[in-house]
Amino acid sequence: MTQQVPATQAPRTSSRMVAPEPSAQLTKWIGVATAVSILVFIYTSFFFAPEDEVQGSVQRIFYVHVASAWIAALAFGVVFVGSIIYLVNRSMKWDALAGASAEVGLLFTTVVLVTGMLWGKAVWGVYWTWEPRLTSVLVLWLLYLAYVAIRMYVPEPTQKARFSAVLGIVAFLDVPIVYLSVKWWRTLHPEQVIVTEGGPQLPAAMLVALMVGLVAMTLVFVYFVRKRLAVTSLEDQIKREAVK
Amino acid sequence: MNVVEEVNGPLFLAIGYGLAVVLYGGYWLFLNRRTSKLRATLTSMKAK
Repeated sequence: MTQQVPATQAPRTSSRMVAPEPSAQLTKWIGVATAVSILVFIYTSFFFAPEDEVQGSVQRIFYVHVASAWIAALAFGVVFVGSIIYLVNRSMKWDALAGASAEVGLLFTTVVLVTGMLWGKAVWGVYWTWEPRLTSVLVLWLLYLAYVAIRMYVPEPTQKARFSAVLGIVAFLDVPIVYLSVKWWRTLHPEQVIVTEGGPQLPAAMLVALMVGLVAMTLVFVYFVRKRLAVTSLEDQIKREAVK
Repeated sequence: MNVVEEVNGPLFLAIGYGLAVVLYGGYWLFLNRRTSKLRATLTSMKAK
């Protein structure tokens, strides 16, 4: 015998199981703003900011490297919050947000690692060294790679959401370790130059280029997350249609 | 002696930004293609 679900409960349960699709129109406008901000970012980082006297032109990697690193931390913060809320209320929209943000955060961390290795080769003479900042970022990348792998290979939706939420909370513990690694240990990686007790330790034009980079990368993050949420929503709708 | 000159700083700068563009642009293309494919699949499923 099938149990009757009260009509008042049915839509609520349904909406909790399917990720809502973000407004395509708004995503499109965010995409336009993102494209404009990227053009401004390219101009400021290559033409507005002065060339570093010691490192020369390769120092300009700093703008995309640091901006991507900050937004990766933001992305993993969203995963952390989304995972906690999912475990509390079991709403799939929070699971979808955490999943989308983790995938985008993994992309940003990949850019951080790649640009950091190239910059390292130019100024340190090596692509990689097992020092605390670099190692903790690699661990972060591996943790979120595992997170994305769980979401790809665990077939049952609620099990996938539960497993990835737990990992999303645990993996975030590495974010403050990455941030504080240059303070806690002696590292080859330079210390923070923006968030310091005496204020930013950068020339004003370099600081402007970095801030523009942060705005551009934030918009890239928001745009990608919305696009990824749309993909998740479409996948959910197809699964629902298939069982009809 | 400037260490940067030894490894050709502008080349490393170009590779760095180039790879960032490839990674971000590649992901953008992936999302667009996946969205188009899924939307087409859903439309055909609903039409049946």
